[in-house]
Amino acid sequence: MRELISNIIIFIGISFIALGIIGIYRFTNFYSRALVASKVDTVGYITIVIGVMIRHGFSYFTMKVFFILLITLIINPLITHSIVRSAFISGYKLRKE
Amino acid sequence: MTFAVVALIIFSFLSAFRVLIGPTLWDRLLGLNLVTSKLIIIIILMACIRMESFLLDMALVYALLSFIGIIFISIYIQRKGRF
Amino acid sequence: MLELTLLLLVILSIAALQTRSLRNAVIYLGVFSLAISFVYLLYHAPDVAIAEAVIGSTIATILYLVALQKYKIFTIYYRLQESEIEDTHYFSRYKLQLVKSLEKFCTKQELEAQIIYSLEELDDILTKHQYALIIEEHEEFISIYAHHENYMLDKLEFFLDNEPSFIRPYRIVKMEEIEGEVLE
Repeated sequence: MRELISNIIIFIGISFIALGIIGIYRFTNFYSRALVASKVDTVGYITIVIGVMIRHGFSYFTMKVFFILLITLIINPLITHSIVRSAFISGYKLRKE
Repeated sequence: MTFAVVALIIFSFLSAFRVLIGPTLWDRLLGLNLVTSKLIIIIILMACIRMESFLLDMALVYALLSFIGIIFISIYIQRKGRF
Repeated sequence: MLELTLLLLVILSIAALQTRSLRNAVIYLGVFSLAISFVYLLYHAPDVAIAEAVIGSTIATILYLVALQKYKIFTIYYRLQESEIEDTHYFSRYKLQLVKSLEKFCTKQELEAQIIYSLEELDDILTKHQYALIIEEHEEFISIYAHHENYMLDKLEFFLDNEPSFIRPYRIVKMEEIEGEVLE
């Protein structure tokens, strides 16, 4: 039963990541690409890791996975912010609407 | 589970293709970030399949190291070649 | 899945050797070292994979960047019209040719070209930013604006005259002259 639930959750996470991959090829502007890639990717990451944690129950393994999830939740937005900030300061300007 | 690993490898291949064709330098950096995050998920899933918990230490090392590398490159570009 | 990763390794290493811009090569090498450490992991050698990730992805990247500080950055602003900033216009044939020949010039002079596609007005770029060249495209010719003390300008003119693949007419405007009266 627990394996079935975790398989479904992991599949949902993979479909989120697939949406992000479609997004980085569909959009033609850099900023919209950065937005869709980072957001959708972070959501997929959290979902897959929660699926893995449900599969293993309460154990040492789950604690380690939870620690990785915590670190990546802090680091991933920081990386995207630094890339986009570097692009904006160096003169990659947004198109005016 | 094996299906998930194969799908993620195909996705990271597509992200690496964005690194190759990206018109500007920042697109390439974005692709590098995507490849790293997908690689961390692949390692977690492989640790789950093989039931070897020391692979998770590798995932931790990857997460911290990619942070340092990408932050250094983006600061280098932002200040036009100086740290 | 091992074959797919090995194919990616071949493509990335060829791209890192073939590119003209050294900063692109640093990013290609970062992806390369990540991929090769994953291959080590598939071969059941996680300790080697950790060493490769630490050395190849972090320390080598920072060392390359510190070494690249010796190269001067040659900042080129490329003025675009508002409708042109979409991705497909980056790959238009004339633009690609001009950018490629400029990068060839910078590689010959041991400079690192940074090309910025910008929408700002010419006066804004002149006053706010530090520039080496500003390129503006018109219907039948290209105008290249440069600071009057730019000592690379004669070499650039000589290079563009002798470049066989660059055939479009162009004119070079030195920026001190444009303040008083425009000299053609």
